[in-house]
Amino acid sequence: MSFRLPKTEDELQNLLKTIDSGYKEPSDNLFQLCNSYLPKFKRQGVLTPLEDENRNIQRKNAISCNVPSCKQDFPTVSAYQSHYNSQHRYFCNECKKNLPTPHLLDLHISETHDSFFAVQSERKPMFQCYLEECKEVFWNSVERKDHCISCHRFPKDFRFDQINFQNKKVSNKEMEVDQETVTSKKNSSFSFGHNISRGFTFKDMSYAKALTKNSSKVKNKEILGDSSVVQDLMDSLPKMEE
Amino acid sequence: MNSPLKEQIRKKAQEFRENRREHEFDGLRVALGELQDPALETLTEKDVISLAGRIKRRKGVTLEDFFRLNQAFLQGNEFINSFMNVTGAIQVLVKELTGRDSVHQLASCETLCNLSLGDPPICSRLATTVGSYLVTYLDTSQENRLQITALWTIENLLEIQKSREILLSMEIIAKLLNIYTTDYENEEARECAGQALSILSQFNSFKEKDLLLLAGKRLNNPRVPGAQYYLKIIFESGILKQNLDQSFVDYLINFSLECVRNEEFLKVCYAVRVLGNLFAMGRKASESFEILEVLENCSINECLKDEVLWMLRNFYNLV
Repeated sequence: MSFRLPKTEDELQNLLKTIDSGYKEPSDNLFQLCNSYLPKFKRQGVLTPLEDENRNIQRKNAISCNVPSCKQDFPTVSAYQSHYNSQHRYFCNECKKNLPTPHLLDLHISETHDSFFAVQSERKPMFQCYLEECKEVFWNSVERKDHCISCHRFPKDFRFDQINFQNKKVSNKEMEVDQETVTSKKNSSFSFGHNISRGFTFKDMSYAKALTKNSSKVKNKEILGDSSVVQDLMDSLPKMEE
Repeated sequence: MNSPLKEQIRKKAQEFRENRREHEFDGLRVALGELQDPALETLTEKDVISLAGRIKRRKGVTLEDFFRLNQAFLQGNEFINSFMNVTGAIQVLVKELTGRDSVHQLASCETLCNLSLGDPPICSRLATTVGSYLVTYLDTSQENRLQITALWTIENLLEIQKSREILLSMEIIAKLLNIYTTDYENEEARECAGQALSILSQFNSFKEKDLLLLAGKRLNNPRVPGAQYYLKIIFESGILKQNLDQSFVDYLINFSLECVRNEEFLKVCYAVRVLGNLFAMGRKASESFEILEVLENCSINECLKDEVLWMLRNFYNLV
């Protein structure tokens, strides 16, 4: 059913006299009738069916990602677009870090790779909030983190946090060096997987014995030449009692 | 040998089939307990708990795991509660959501959307744990499906008071207004953002700074998808009580008149309410007199009679 305005001015004015005027809040009774006809929001979930694997195999013209060092293939353009947007769109060329939004990439580049920013940040607060809409700036990333946790109720372990990344970067720069192993016992013989230990032997005496036999009479240098490597080896051998 | 024309027709037919198939495979939106497909697997709470344990133990979640979890969550609240009671299970979803695989990001976001159908304590926990990531992904306008799924999840969370407060502290209104009023191709995102804003306005969530922002953002075309929410937001947010720029008043009156001409029930209803309150606050524009002509030429639903008369009374008081 539709409603039409009265045709004459008098009729309309008489009708209007029966109605209240003035500002009305959304909760006013006047709007209740109509509200019952308006669509209500209903919470809804989502279910996307699984794609069958054969479909991907059947596709002849798979799209390959043309970014160097990424050789992935995609069955559809949309799958490729999704991949590109999530992995290559907001990408830091300097440290190969991938970020989800342009704002976070801007923050990352200026805070990690911009020397002008580094100088300026010592003079005035330069660290912007992770939320682009928040215009507050801070002296350092720790202050910013505190602000995000207390004001914006971010989780303490926010995964796009620049601090986490910087720490990782520092640890990556350090070269891994094996710790020097200190062994109390020096092995003079080796084992090839059997329980019997073996050493080098000459025909009539052991190699160690040959080295130390005439040590009091003839200098070691004279026997084995002037080699420092051999000298080290000799020092490492146990002294044999004559 | 095939002629080029035949080849072209074959190619077009193949593209058409593929598009149709993709449409078929597109996400299905259902409310809690509405999923009734005999082809779907029947899951028990025990299955959900073991699935949650499995995704924790394994290095990553498979798409089948996501699908089974989604299926379970849509079947009932008890499955959602069981999953949330497994310590660390939600962290696996966060890891997938923020990971590098775009397919898994989307699947994880869908699972979170289904979890947001849960009870208020579940929703507030979700808002605390994943709210910041969902808000971050609203800026990824290039990645349509992820952005839209994040918007669906946010809409669900905004219905609950505690989770709404958490999201409000993350400047959600500014983010949504940006999506809603920016002219770009993603119309579905605009519609979702409009709906989310209308939920917020319904719960009086607009503060003074948000109203200032709202007054600065305008929807250019009243015929775009999602435009039906604009006047609802304007009416319910309380902005009409504020001191408004004459240019904004002119814009609102023009926009409302265009909506009345449109004759779509939701648009006409809120256009009449906005005009009524604008006239009540003593605001008018040169186009205000057009309202009589527009009302005479349009068919208006009978249930709107009282509201139209109230608006006209305010109008006559003004002139």
